[in-house]
Amino acid sequence: MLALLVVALAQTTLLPRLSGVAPNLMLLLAVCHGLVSGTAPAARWAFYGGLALDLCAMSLLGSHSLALLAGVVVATWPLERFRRGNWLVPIAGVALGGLAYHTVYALLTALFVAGFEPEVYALFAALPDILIVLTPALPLYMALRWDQERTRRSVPVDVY
Amino acid sequence: MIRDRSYRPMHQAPRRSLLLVIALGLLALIIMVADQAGMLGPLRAQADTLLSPALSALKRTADRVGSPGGPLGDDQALQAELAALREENSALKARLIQAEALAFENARLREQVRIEQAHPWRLLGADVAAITPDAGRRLALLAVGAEQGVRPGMAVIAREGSSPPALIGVVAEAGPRSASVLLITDYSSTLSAQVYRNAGVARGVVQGQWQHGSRLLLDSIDRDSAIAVGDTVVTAGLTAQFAGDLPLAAIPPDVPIGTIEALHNTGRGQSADVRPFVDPDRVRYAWVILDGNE
Repeated sequence: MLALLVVALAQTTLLPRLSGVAPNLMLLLAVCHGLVSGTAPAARWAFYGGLALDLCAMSLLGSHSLALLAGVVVATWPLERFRRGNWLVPIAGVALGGLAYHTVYALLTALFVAGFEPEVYALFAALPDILIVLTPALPLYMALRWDQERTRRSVPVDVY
Repeated sequence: MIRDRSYRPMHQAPRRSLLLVIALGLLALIIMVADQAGMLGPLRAQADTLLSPALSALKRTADRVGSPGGPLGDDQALQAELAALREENSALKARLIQAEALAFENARLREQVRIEQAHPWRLLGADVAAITPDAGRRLALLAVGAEQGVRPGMAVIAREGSSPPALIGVVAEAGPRSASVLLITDYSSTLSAQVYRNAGVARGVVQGQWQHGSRLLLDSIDRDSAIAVGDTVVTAGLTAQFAGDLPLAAIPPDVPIGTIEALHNTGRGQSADVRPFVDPDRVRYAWVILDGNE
């Protein structure tokens, strides 16, 4: 939980903005964690990480949690059947997850905060954000996989 | 056992995952509605109190690191901006001086137009470059000369405060681009003058009295002339009337000179002390009457 708070702090303050868009580190972490470890652990990361983001960014509490949950679910469930070694898995996962995240977040913003133009949001917020997080998606996915395999025993867990 | 690196992820109970996602989603929704309703204000305030110091410190760090070159870049940018501002300030000051000079010239030209409209004169404006510092001769140097049409004998007028445009001297010599003016207060300055009074005119001669400790003397006035203190003395233009080829013929009639301050009975005639309208010693800008014909 504390680590997620640190990530939220870094995302809202430290990370440089590229064309006015800060890299969505929380989304990237949650989706890659889901692709590596499964939906349930990633859902917890998404929930707590979203709350931390809302506190740091002064946004509506729970909005980022809901959006990140949507992103994690859309990224992990369709890709569960694919092999983890396939390098397209993290790329597709982050793209799908980013799309779902922004769709839900935009809807929540329009419902609870203020209206906006979907085309403008898609062109100037969603698309740049997804493109930015796609770049480190594969390296991060591989790092998380390596970390998980390092901490697991050599015997695969699904060996009877 | 050879590790199969291409194995699939651990098969979690899908129902359990689904329930967890739904539960967390509902919880997030409830939190959102509560925050929208303002019920979580105290909690947010507490969180803000705890997080603000960290957020501020990290933001400051990000700002410092974020700009290329960091503090060095800032200093260089500030110095460049300072240099540019100094240059702009200098240019603006020069333009201000220019504007002030133009405004002054504009005022002089307007004055010249007013005088020309009120009198049948054609004027040439000129700065008084210098006035002789000693009392030997009362001369002024104008910054215009023969190239601008100035000729010896031309009348030079000026204004001071609310005075009418009045005679201050006569051009003595005219160089190409400068002219020396014999001021009317100089003892060697002698001009025909007249005073209008009671539908009549009294004529005399105005002579400078500076070397005698006074200003102007209107002499050779007929003793029967009914002039009085306060009367205005103007040029008579007699040289132009009787001897048109002499230099002083360029002085037109009816150019104001001054007012009578005191009258003296000299036995054969009258004389009067004249106070000039314009003190020639204080003039800094004057006009040469190039053409005084109506």
